[in-house]
Amino acid sequence: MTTENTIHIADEKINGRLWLGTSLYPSPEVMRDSLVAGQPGFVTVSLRRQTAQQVADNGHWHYVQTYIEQSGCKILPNTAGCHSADEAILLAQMARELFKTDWIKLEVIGDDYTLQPHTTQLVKAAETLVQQGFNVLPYCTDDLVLCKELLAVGCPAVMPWGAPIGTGKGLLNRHQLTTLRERLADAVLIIDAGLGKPSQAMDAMELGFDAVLLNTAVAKAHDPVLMAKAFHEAVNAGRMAYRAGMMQERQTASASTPTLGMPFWHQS
Amino acid sequence: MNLAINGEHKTFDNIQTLQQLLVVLEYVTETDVMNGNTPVSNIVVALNQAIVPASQYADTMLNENDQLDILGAITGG
Repeated sequence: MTTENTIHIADEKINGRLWLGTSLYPSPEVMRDSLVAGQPGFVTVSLRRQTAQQVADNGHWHYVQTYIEQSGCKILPNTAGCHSADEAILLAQMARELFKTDWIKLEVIGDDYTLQPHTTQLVKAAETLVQQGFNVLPYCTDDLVLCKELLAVGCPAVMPWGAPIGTGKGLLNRHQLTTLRERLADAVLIIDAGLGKPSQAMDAMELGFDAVLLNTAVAKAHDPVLMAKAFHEAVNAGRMAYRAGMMQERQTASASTPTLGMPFWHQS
Repeated sequence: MNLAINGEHKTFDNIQTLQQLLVVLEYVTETDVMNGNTPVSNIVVALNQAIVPASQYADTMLNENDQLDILGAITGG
């Protein structure tokens, strides 16, 4: 079923404009319940070196698999931790083999302190992975020219940061993000990282972004399950507001109640 | 045979194929192999930074000082 919350990317239907990460939850069960409450279109996962025992004991992964099978939500592996195009390409290939999906959230970090994406290595990796048949969703900065380059090499969407990963600062550069929406009117744009509150996610959706991806804001809430539901409703409300068309902001007051027929008008 | 497994150097006796190594390391059980239940789907292996498809574990011969990365799913943001 296609609804207001359905988004089409790379000819596939994504049933949800809130996308959720699976890290940092207090327990696998809380993660599972948060996914159910948030109804994400994508859930992000990753892959790392593991012993046989770690593979066998992986409760989080078991719950993610079960949720995906039951919900129809899609899985989005990432290349978190990669610092070069070559690293990211190999990890993406391993992710495709492990998770059986062509979707990849492409991360190539250029600065360890800010976790800012490495712009040139990102484009290089994206171009190669697109040629190899991946649906590449790159985590990038809000640089307009970078986003245009990523779209030009075949990424079906771009995912500029709202703020550095895990900071919860919201949309630090609204002017630039607004410019992205205006200049890339036909592109699928997703805010990835930096959101801390449902109001910030709604802000992104009201600006016309197509979806938001977040993790820490839900996982580190006092009640992650309730916060996932709050983000779900905020994202959907923001999308509806964008589609409805918001009023023009004005500098001066303007009464909404008519003055015509007002009693005692100028009688005192 | 000396191998680097997930960054750790280890020595193995009587190992020739990747599938045999995965059994010794207990990613795969002997029963799985006997029942034909390999390839396994919960790991992915890179040999000297090149992916080995699961269907080729049994046919992949290992050599001295090979580097293996054996990865599994984890949570991610």
